[in-house]
Amino acid sequence: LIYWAWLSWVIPLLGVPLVPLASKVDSKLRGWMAVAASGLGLVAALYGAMSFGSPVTEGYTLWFPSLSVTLQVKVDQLSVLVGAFVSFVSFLVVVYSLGYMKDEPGQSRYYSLVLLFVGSMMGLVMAGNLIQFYFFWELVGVCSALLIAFWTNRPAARKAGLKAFVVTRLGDSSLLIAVIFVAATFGTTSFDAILGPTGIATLGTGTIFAVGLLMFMGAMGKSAQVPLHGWLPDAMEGPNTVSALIHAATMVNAGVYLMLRMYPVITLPQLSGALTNIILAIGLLSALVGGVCAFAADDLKRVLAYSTISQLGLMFAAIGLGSLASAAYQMISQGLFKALAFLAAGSVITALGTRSINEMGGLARIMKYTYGGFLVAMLGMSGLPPLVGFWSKDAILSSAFSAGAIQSAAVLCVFAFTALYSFRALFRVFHGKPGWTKTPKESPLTMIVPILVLAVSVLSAWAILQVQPLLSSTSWAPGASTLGASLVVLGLCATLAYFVFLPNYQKVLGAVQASRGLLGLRNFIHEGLGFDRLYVWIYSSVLRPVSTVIGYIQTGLVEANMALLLLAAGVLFVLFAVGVL
Amino acid sequence: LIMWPTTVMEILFAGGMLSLVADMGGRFSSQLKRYGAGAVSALAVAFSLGVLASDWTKSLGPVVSLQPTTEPFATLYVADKFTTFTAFTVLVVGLAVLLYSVMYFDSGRQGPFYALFSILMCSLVGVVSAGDLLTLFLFWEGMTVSAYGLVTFGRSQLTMEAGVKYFLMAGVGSLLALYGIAGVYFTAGSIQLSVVGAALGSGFGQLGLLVLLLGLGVEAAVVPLHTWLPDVYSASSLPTASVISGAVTGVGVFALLKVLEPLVPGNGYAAVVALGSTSNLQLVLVVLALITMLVGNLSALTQGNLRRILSFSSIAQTGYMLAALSTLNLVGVVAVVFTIWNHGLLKSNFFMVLGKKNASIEESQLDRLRGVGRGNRFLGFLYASSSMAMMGAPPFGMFWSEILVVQSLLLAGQTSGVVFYGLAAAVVLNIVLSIGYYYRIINTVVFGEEQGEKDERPVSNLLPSASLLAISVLTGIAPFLILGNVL
Repeated sequence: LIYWAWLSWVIPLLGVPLVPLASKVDSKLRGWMAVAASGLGLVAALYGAMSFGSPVTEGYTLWFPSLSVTLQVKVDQLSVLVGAFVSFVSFLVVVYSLGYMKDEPGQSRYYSLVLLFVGSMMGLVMAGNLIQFYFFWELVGVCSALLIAFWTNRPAARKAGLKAFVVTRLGDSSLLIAVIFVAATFGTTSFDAILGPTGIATLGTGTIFAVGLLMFMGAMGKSAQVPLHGWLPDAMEGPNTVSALIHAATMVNAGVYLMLRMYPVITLPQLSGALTNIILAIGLLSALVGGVCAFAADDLKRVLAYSTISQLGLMFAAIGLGSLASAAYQMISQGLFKALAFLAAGSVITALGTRSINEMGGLARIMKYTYGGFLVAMLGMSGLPPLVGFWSKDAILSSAFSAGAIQSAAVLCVFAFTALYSFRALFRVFHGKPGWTKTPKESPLTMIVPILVLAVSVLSAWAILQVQPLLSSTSWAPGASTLGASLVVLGLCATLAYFVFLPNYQKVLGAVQASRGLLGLRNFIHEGLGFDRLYVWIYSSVLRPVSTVIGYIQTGLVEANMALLLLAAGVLFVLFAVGVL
Repeated sequence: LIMWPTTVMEILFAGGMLSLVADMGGRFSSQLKRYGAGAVSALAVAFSLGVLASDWTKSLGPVVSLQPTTEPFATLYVADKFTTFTAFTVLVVGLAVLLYSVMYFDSGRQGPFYALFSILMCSLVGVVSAGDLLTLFLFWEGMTVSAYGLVTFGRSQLTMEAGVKYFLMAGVGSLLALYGIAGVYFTAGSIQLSVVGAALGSGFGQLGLLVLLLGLGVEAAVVPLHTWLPDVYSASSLPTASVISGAVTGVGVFALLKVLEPLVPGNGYAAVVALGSTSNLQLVLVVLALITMLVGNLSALTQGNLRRILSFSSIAQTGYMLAALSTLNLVGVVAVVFTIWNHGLLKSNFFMVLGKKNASIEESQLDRLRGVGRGNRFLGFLYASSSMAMMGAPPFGMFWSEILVVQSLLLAGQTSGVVFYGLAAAVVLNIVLSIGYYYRIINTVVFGEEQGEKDERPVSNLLPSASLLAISVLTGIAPFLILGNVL
C-alpha cells in the first residue's frame, strides 16, 4: 500500500468523531484535535509530494459491487500537487481558527465539519474513480452548506446554506448522470480505464460531447460559474475561515480539478473543440461577470467572493484554451492568494466588527501584519511579477494571444478588472479616511502566523511550484508581448484605482450619486446583475404555482379519492377495450 | 430446506398472542403492565431476526420455492436474496419501532397494540415471502387489517377519519387486486408468481396484471392512489406512523416488485415472455413513476407540517422505486430492494425523532418545532442527519440507492429506449427538488430561533432512531456489506 495516499484523507476523517469526544475532556482540546488531525494529514500529503516517483493507481477493497467500484487512490502528478496544496491551506486555516473561533459557541460542530471537509476534499483529490470522486464531491457540498450556516442565528446565513446546497446540487445532478452513464457503459469508472484509449474515447462523438458537457455542468455548479454562481457571494455569510478554506482555496476548485482530470476526454480530436469552446466561453463570461461585480461590491467578503468567481472563470478559460498546466498553476496560486486575502480580511472584520468597506479605511498603520498580508494577496491576485499569481496569468494570456483577438481582449479585460477591484479593496480598506469610530487592534498570534506563512508562500511559492512534475514540463518564462501587455494593464488600472479611490473618492462618489443612470447601473451590479432575480423567478412563478395546484388535488375527501381509484380502473378497461393494451 | 418464512411467521404470531397474555398479567404487576407486552413482542421480533440469520446464507441463492405441508401457514413461499433481505428490513425496522413504542406508550392498555403490531409483522413477512398470488393476497389483507387497527389505536376523531379513509382505499385496492389475480389466473392457468409472465402473452392477462398492480399500488402509495397516506401518517400515533412508513409502504412496493420480478431477465425465474423493446407495461410504469415523484415532491414543498412533509416525501420515494421497477432489469430490482431498506431505516427513524410522548399532529407543525434542535443538541443532530440522509447526501445509505436507481434507468436507456434517459434526468432533478423541503427542516428545526417549545427527552428515548441512523451510515460507508454479499 502507498500509505500516505490513504492516510492523507483517512486521518482527518477519523478525527471527525474525536472532536466531540475531546470536548468531554477539555473544551480547548477540540481545536487542537483538529490541528493535530489536519497536521498529520499535511505530513502525509507532503511526504507523498516529495517521494512521488511515477503515477500509480492503487485499489484496496471492493466498495460498491453493483458498479464494481473499488476503493482506489490515484497518485499522479496532478493529485500529488493538489493534495499537498489542499492539506497545506487546510492546516493553516485550522490553526487560524484557533484564534478566530476562540469565543464562538458550537465549536464541536465547527471543528468536526471542518475536519469532515478536509478529509472529503482530500478524498476527492486522491480518488481513483468517478464514483468515489462523486461520493466525496457530495460530501464536501454537505460540509460547505452546513458551515455556511454555521452562525445559525442569522437568517441570511441559513438561507445562504440552503441556496448553496440547492444550486450546487443542481449542477451535481448532471454530473451524477454522466458518472453513472460512464459506469453503466464501461462497467468501471476508474480514471485509468475510462480516460485511456479503450475508454470514453471509443464512444460516438455525440455521446462523448454529452458526457463532457454534463460533467462540465457539474463543475459549473461547484466552481460557481455563470449562471450557477449565485450561491458563492451569499456563502460569505459563513465564518471567514470557512470562506477562506472552502469557498476560496479548495472546494470551489473541485470543478476545475474535475475538468483537469477529464482533460483527455474534453480535448479528444473528434470533438473538434466543441467542448473546449463552451468551457472557454463560460469561463470568460464568468470571469467578466465576477470582475464587474467584485468592482462594485461594498461588502469586503463579497468583493473577494466575486473575485473568486472571476479567477475560477480564468481557470476554465485556460482549460478552454488548451493549457492544462496553466489552469492547474492558476488553481493553486489562486488558492494561495485568495486564502491569504480571506484570512487578512477576517482579521480586519474581527477587529472592526463589520464587513462593509465603507466603514473601513486607514488601517495600514494600525494593523501592520494584516496589511502586509492583504497587500501581498492583492498584488499576487493582480498578477505582479514575480508573485505566484503572475506566472499562470502570463501563460493564460500567451495562450489567448495565440488563440485570437477576441480571446486576448477578453482575457486582458479580466486582468484589468482584477487590478481594479484588487486595488480598490486595498485602498478602501487600508488607506484613505477611516470610516470607523472605535480604534481597532491587531489580531492575536494564532491568526497572524498563518497570514504570514501564506504571505511568504504567495511571494515565493513559484520557485517550488515550477519544479513540480506536473508543471515542470512547461516553460514559464514570460514572453515579451504578454509581459508588456499585462504590466501596462496592471499599471494603468492601479493608477486609475488610486486616483478614483484615494484623492478624489468623494468627488467620484458625488458624481455617481448625482447621475441616475450611473446609480442605476451601480445598483444593478450590486444585485449581482440580476441573476438572483432569475432564481427567485424560477421558484415563485414555476415551482410554487404547480405545487399549489397539486395541493388543491389533495382534497382529503374520501369519496373523491375512491372515485379516482375506480376511474383509473375504468380507464384501464377502456384502454383494453379499444385495443391499446 | 429453507424454513424461515414459516418459522418466523409462527414466532411472530405467537409473539402477538403472548403479548396479550403478558398484558393480562399486568393486573398483578405494574412492571409487567408497563413493559410486559412490548417486551414479549420485541423478543419475538428479535428471535425472528435470529432465525432469519441462521438461514441467511442458504437463502441468498436463486429462487427457492418451498411448500411445507405439516406446518401452520402451509402454502407456497419463495425464499431468495430479495425476499430474505426485505424480510430482514421489515424485522429491523419493526424491532427499532417496538423498542421505541415501549418508551412512547407509558400508560393505558397496550396489549392490543403489540398484538396488532406482531400480526402486522407476521403479515408483512408473509407478503414478502409469498410464492403465489393467493398467499400474497391473504397476507396482504392481514397487513391491511392490522395496519388499520394500529392507525385507529388512539381513537380520536382524526385517527378514525384517517383510518376509515385508509380502510376504504385499501379495500378497493384489494378488490381490484383480486380481480387482477382472477385475470392472471384466467390467462396463465396458475397463480404461482413464477408464471405471471405467461399472462403477458394475451391482452386479457396484461389487463389483469395492470389491475393487480393498481390494487397493490394503493399500499405503495402510487399516485393517484396515494391520498390516504398523508392523513394516516399525520393522524396515527408516532410508532404506527413509523412502522407504516418504514415497513408497510416498502412492502407495498415490494409486492409490486414480486409481481413484476418474473419478467426480469436473469433473476432466477425462467422468464416466460421476453419483453424486448419497451413494452406498454413499462410505459405505464414510467408514467406512474414520473407522476408519483413529481406529486410527492411538489406537494411536500408547500407543506407546513413535518409529518405531512415526510408523508409526501415517502410518496416521492415510491416514485423513484417505481422508476427503477419500470426498467425491468436486475439492477432495478436491486435498486428497489436497497431503497426499501434505506428508506425504511431513515423514514421510521425520522418519525421516531419526531416523537414526544403522545404528540398530536399540531405539535409537528414546523413553526412549533422551530429551534427545538437548539435546545436539545443530540436531537438537533438527529434531525439534521436524518434530513441530510433523506436528501441522499453521503455518507448515508440513501446515496447509493439513488445511484442504483439512476444506474438501472441508464442501463434501460441503453437497451430499451430513450424514454428511460428522460426518466433518469427526472429522478435526479426531483432529488434536487426534494432538497427544498428537507433542507427547510434543518433550517427551521435545527437552526431556527428557539420559540420556547422544549423537547427534553432523555437520550435513551432517541436511541432506537439513533441506531437506525447508525445502520444507515454503515450502509453508506460500507455498501459492499449488503450489495456485495446479499443483493
